[in-house]
Amino acid sequence: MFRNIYGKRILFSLRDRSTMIWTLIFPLVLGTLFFAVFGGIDTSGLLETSPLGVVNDEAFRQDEAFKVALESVSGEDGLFELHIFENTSDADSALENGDITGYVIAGDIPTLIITSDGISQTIAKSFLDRFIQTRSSIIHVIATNPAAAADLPALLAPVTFTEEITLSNNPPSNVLNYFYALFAMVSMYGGFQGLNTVVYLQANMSALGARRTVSPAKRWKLVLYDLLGGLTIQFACLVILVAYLSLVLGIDFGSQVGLILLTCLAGSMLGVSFGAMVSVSSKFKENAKVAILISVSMLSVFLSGLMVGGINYIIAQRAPIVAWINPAARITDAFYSLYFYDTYGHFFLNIGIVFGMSVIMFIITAVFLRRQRYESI
Amino acid sequence: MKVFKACMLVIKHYYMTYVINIVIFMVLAIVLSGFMAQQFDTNFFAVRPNLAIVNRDGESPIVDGLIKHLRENSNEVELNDDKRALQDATFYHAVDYILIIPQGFRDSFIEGTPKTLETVKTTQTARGFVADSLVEQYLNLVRVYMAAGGDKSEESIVSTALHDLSNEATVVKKQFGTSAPVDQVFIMYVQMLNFILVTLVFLSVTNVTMVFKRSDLRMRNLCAPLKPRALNLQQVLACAAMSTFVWMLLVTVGVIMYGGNLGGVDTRIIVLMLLNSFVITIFALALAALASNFVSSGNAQNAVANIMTLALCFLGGVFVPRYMLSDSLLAVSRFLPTYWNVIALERATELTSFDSSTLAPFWQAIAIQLAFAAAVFCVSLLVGKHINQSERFVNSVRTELEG
Repeated sequence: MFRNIYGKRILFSLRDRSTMIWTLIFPLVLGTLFFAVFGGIDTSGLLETSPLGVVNDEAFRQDEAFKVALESVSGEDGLFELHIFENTSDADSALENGDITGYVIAGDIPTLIITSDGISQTIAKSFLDRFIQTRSSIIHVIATNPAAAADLPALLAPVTFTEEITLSNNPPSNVLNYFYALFAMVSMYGGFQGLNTVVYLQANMSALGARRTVSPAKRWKLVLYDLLGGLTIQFACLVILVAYLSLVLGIDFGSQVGLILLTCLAGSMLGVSFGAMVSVSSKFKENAKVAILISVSMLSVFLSGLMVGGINYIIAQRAPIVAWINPAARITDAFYSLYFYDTYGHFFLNIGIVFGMSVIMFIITAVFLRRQRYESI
Repeated sequence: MKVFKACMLVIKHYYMTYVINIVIFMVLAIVLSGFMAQQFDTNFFAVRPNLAIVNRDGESPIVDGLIKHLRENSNEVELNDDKRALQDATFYHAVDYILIIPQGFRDSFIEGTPKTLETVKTTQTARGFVADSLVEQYLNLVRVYMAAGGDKSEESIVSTALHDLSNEATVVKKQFGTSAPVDQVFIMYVQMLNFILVTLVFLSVTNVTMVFKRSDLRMRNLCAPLKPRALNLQQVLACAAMSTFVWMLLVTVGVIMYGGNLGGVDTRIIVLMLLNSFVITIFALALAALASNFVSSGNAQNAVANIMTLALCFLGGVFVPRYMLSDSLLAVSRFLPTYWNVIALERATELTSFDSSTLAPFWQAIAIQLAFAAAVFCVSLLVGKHINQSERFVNSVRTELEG
């Protein structure tokens, strides 16, 4: 009987075009889109040369030190692309048109004119601050110890005191989280498999359900074998997606293949149990159940960072309970823990929660499915 | 207007789908605005990195001075000196930068052979540069004072360095034009409208067309004393009315939610922003008309709606800022109306005057979107004509209304 039900369920799932679109084609398209769009996101906060203006007035022309300092950090690989304006009104119009991020008026205390806050403006101010502070220290040294003046050029050559290290196996990545959230989305869409199982097992939902309800087979076997069939297809879809992204598009998800597959399995179970629970516990029509499934899944994956990267971290900090009970966030975190941590504590905590959620939802499904009788269908 | 009324009945039948979509969108909008609220202010706020300091060297004037300087210029996050805690903070992006001061740093610094300070950056961002800059500038000033001689004490050197570090450039924030800048959260809301408008308009149009394409109903309608043109026109009218209603509803909700933050903003800018979102509604209508030729079941409808809107929004720069997109991808994006919608939105919000030359770029972006809509609508008419004449089209539509 197992082969009969399980095999037919697999065949049914493969022939169910709409479910295959949601759980396989749609994620493959989205994954490819992510790959195309997020290629440069990890470097998006990197320093870029920003256009900065300076007014070529009397003060600027006379302040040779400032001129040299500004030119030394400008140019192709420098911090600024320098635009020189003859007067403030020219600089103003360039600023208004967005040609420059700000402009500087030289003086004892230089002034930075900007229209908005941002990292380019902060770096410009940081440069000016450093210049003023260094000039102040030169004046101070000469005033207190004139003999040291000759050594000043050597002393002022900047020394580097810091060195960047990493705390984990792999460097933090903003891109990977989008893909992990995509895996979470596919897992949640496993709900369609759970929904199908219940719809075609409940006599009041479909003709097939009515036929199966009167069949001389044990109910629990019907449910279990059917769910296993759905789970197999769901798991296969997720694995195909992971394989496509890593082998075809070349995205590196780390080397723990076994644990990645375990996470796929846990995610698939969560999705299938979620769909079964939604389907069995509500009396809506199939379309309404599909709408609930998609809406909850979308909300869940949105909060795990699928549409707006980094929102999962904000939620984790400001509303930790929401983050911990969000199934998509747990799946995303489980994948990212595998990539990021050199230990497995965090990973197994997340996997444990995902399995726990699945078991609870399967139990709820079983309670509802148990001993259902129909007065009228 | 029997067909128009029938269309409205069909739309009413599916009201739950719209309600769910709108409610979810609203929840997302509120979450986003709650977390990303950023109001315009005429003061300059330098970007302050979120920074954690792990001090393994204990207290000393040099280290204390460094910590004081960092605290004044960043948002300090308290972290335990424990690898797991530091990893977690990096994992959850709770900090931009971690500074680890090694044991014996102060002594090595005084001896002139300073131990290296270890830093961890969450991502390779410019915030890390700002944090690095704060550390390096302080230590370099202290080093210069120490090397310059004099018999100053460590405390006095640190105090002088901190005094120097308190010197700052003057920052003036200018505002061009009379309008205050538009609230960032409202801009984001209007930009996100792209997503929900395209989805809802698509669902409305396909819900109606799917019903009217049912073979029994088509055959019934074909023999009715009603010209096909009138039938189609009333369907188009009903879809247009529904789309306008959806647009008005979402705009009204947006204005109610964020209207309080729009004080001082030139009303003309708001009108242009909303006009821009109406233009994408028109495009959505044309796109839905085209796609409805191919959609024949509820599941396909949802799948097409999601794939289409997500592709339009991701590639068009609605979800991801344009500067993050590669040049080759941007070349593709230019062929999407969502790209021009975001451009028009930017141009509208940056307006400082309303003469024809400053408005021209905005109208250009609007015209491109309308041209896209016209082109797609023409293609949909051609495809529709072709499909309607083919035999295979009959008996291929299934809706729950059949039961």
